[in-house]
Amino acid sequence: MNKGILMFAYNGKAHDFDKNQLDIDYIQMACANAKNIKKYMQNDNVALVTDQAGKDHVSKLNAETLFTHIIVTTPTSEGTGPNTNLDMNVRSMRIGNKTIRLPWKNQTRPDAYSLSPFNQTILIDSDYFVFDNTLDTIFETNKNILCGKHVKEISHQDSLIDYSRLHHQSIKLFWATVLYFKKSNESMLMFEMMKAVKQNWQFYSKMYKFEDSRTYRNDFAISVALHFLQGKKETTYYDLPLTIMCLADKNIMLNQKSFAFRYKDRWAGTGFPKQNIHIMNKESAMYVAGEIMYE
Amino acid sequence: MDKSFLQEIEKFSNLKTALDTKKTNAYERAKNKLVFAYEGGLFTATPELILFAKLHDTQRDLILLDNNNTPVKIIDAEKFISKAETGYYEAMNEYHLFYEELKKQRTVKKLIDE
Repeated sequence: MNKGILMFAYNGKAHDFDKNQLDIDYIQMACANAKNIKKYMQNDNVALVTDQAGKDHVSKLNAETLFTHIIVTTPTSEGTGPNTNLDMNVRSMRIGNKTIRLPWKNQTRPDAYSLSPFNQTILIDSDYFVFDNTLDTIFETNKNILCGKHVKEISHQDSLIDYSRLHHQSIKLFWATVLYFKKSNESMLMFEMMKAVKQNWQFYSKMYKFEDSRTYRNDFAISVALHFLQGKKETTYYDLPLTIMCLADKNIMLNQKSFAFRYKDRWAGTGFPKQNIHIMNKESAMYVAGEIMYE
Repeated sequence: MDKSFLQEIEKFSNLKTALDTKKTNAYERAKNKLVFAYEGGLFTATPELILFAKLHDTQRDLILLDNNNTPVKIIDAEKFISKAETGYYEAMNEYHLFYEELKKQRTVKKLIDE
């Protein structure tokens, strides 16, 4: 198979400060997304990278047929420092008014090059929900790599430097949320460089001024890798020419076509024309995934 | 100043924010739909691009920069224009229809529900 979408999904348990537990079901998000990819896109081959428990969960959801490939891996820790340790890489995020802490099993993403069964792959986060066919166009590029660069938050309340740079004195931020790559020497180098950044996370975090980030982030690793590939210059060569719309974790999806957002210290709401969206609020992502799976 | 007047302004401001946010997201959707591929390049179908491709001197090679500033030689100008126009009209018609519907929505509840 030549073209397809690749997702990684490992389930995890989050906790809030009152020690309440919340299961983060990335597998169901990936299944819902695969269902939408089949519905909206022409290039609808979908591969899932997960662990054995994840594969069993896909079976439980009767969702095997949504995927052309289910690739089972056992994630291992590489590199030094807590960030690259699978059990230590814990991230805090808001879900509406609450703050939760969740393990972030994102360290296997640099293996996408060797794991992808496709020649041309669009690697997306399982919480980047597909609701249109705009990604089909990307398969027609002659570039070897295109990575998310333009991001907008759907409430349009904040314009954060965090969305565009690793640090206000550092390089531009690429978003690994949507990454296109063609099997080639260039993309292999990019993934190898990502691995090098991961393995030497503390060094690169000082060099590129993101040492305040307590977690390993693929966005940062890929930004450094692409900075190297561009000859340590900023160009537009690898910019994905699509805007990634996202819902910040502090805001809430009410359903697939409306959301609530913080506005002047209150909650406001509005509708949302269906389009691809990165739902960072995990509770909302699970809610939308449930809606898609059972509609 | 009268309290009810301020409340009226606040209500209007909330509705305007909800309207504007929904409209901006529809515009972002339209902009993403304007992107099309030709000969490996990815372009955004703008009126300027379409007009330039239509009006260019056919005695000369037509080289255009794609969205990543890569020069692409347009071998079949008609096909290029057709792709650009299709993308442009589809995206803008959809945005226009959406906007016409949006104009009728006079409450935040309607903006959320419809």
